Amino acid sequence: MKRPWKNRVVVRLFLSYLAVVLLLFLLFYLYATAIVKDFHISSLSAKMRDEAKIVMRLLPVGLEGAALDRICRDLGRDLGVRITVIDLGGKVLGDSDEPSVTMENHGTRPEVLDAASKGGGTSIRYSATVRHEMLYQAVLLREAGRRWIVRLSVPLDSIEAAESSLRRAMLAGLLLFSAAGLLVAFFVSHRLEQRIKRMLEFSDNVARGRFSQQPILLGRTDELGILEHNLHAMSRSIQETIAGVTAEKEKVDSILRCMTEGVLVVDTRGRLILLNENAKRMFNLPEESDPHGASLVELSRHPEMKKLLAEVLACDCSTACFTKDICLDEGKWFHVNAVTLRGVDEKPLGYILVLHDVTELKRLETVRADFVANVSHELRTPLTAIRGYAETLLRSPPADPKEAEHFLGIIHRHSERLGRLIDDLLTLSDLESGKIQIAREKLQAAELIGKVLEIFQDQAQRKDVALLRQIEPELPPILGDPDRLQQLLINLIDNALKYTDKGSITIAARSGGIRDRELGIGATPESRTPNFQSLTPNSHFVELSVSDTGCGIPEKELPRLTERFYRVDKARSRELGGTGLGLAIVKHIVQAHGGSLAIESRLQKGTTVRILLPAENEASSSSVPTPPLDSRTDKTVRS
Amino acid sequence: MLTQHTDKRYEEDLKKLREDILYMGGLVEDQIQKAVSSLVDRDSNMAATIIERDKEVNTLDVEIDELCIQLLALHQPAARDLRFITTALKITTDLERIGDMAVNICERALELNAEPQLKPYIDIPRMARISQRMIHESLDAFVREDTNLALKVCKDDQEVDDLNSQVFRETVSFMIEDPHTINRAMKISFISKYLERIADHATNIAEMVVFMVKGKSIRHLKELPQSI
Repeated sequence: MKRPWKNRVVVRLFLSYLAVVLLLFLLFYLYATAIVKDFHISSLSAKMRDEAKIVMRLLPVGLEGAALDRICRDLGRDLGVRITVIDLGGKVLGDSDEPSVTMENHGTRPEVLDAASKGGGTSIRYSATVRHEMLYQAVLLREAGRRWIVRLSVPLDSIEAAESSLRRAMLAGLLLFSAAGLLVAFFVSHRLEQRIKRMLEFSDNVARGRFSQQPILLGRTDELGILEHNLHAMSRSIQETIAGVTAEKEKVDSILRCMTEGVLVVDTRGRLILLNENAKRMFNLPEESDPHGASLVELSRHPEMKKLLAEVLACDCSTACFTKDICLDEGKWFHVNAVTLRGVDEKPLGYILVLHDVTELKRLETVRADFVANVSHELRTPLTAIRGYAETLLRSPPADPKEAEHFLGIIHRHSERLGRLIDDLLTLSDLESGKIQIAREKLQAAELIGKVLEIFQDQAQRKDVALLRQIEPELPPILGDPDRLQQLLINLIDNALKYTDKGSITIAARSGGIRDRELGIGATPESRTPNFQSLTPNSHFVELSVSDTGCGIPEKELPRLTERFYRVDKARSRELGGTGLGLAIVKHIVQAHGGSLAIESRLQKGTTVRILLPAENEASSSSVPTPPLDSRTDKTVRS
Repeated sequence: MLTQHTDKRYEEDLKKLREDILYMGGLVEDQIQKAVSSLVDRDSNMAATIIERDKEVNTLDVEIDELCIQLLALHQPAARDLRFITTALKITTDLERIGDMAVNICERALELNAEPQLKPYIDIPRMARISQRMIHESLDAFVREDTNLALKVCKDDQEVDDLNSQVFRETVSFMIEDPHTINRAMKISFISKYLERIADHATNIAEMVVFMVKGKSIRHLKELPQSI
């Protein structure tokens, strides 16, 4: 990642190095030049003092003015200095450069004053005469009657020239040194930067949750090295923690996902915190949707849902579990349990609602309630008749024996009906409890159908209904119990005859079949036909079907048709003498054989009942039945 | 969905508005379903309950109106929120009308239940199912700002219209055959008309949703646009 250069630690470090080096360099430079200058000046002035003493001795006494000027000029030229001779009063007696007579009194010059009082003086001044910075050295001579002050002066140019060359050399040297130093500093800081950069990248990756298995190159064991090591250890422990948390979360998630109940967690205001997959399915939400934070109302707008929420929020679920059954769209029933969700500090965080889909249970409840009502009703109807006629016979026996016979006939008929009813109930309960052993005999469909049709021949002729047979040749034998299958066909044909006033009843048998659901009940023939067409001819099933051209059954009644005592048209079927148990028995016989049942019907067109029964495998006709059949048989017998 | 607002209270109120509208929708859906089943199952008790429960729909209508006006007055919303709130204001009116239609169906059902059944009801439950679904989907479109769903609702209206004219033809044929059936046939025809009106209200909602999202009015057009 790129960051502004100003914000880089290494750049800052480098810049402060640079500042320190420059400052030190400057200080040293100033100090050194000052010292060198001082040294120069002091050595020069010492030399000049000596020269002044010599010059003094060489000058003749008593001269002044132009003559002295001339001597001074000669000496000055030899020494390369300017020589001025001054008396104690300050009057210039001779000068090497200027005519002394014209010169002003020098008594006030600092070096002259110093020389007059202490015997010698030095001064650096700007000379107005020669327009230069000059070094003046004055010496007092007090011997042989001469009381002069000799002053030598040189321009400082020469010193400055020497100084500047020295300065240049020093500058060059120092620059070279500091450049080398900075170069080293740069490399060191660059290396440092590389390590910091590596750590930065590493920590950045960790922060983004990208854990690389590769450790940072562990450098030397300096502080940075320790930091690198710690970073690595930290990343590892974070990784482990995250892995642990993730595993834990996955465990909880999969538990929630695999629960058959719908689980909803809402906060104290009724907003969703969590819901599991099954709850999504219950409310027809897409699998990937995340309704977190939404209100329950958005899940299902059914008014029941809001009422439920209000009740949950209002009730104190901390002590007891809130329980309620609600009915939502499409007649779905849910059993709802709610408990308060509490945090560690016992403060309520929300509510957990567990929804069980009890639609099927509710349906069964209805079936059971209906059954009890039906069975008592069915038993009472003939009993009432029997009791009524028996009481009549007892209390006021009719005089006419014919009438009495009629009464007795009614009693007989009703008691027979009662007996039939009880027989059917017993058969049904035996079949349901699995007590009946289903025999596995090889049966020819044609034979079976023939036997049953004989029974109905008369009845059909009386009603003017044709009984037709359509039996495929070379059918494999059915494996089943002859008595039970006969009963099954009798029930079906009996039903068909009852509800068919004109037309025909067709009993068909053909090979092949599908393993449908335990009980496949088709709504319309169209929806079923493709399934039947896709049969392979050598499936080990034989399909028996009974079709009539009767009044048909409304579509919505089809699912409940095989319930005990269920009647589509209650008045009519009882009048026809049915017990309401026929189809229930058929269903159980088919199930006991490991077959399946399908009913199709169209109003005013007719009804077709199809039954698939296991047949003997042609390929292994001599050997034992095929394994799936076998296991099926076992299961049936055991249950 | 809705963007975050700094004002917590405002945020809450908008959320409440959304939920109230959805709840009101759910309520009228249930009203229609129960109204029609009170007709089909000839259950006069249920019809009476539905008529009673319309009060709840009316209360909700008033409450939502007040909430909308309060939101507008207190927060002076702009752009998206403004469109949301004004659309909500109009939607409640439609939902309230739908609730009234459900009551009308119940009243007719009560009258019809007092007489023998004229014919098995097949198309009317179907119309009820479709218009119920249309309400549901139009409100889904409203909260999800889904214009495609809204357009689908507008298109589904045709189905209900067709069923309505079918029921009308059927009832007319009953009346021609036997003048004694006129009373009942008329009422069945009314119920069919009510359901057709309900579907129209659902279409209205869907059209307002399109306006809310796209700022484009598709009302009173001869032909529906294929896509927005």
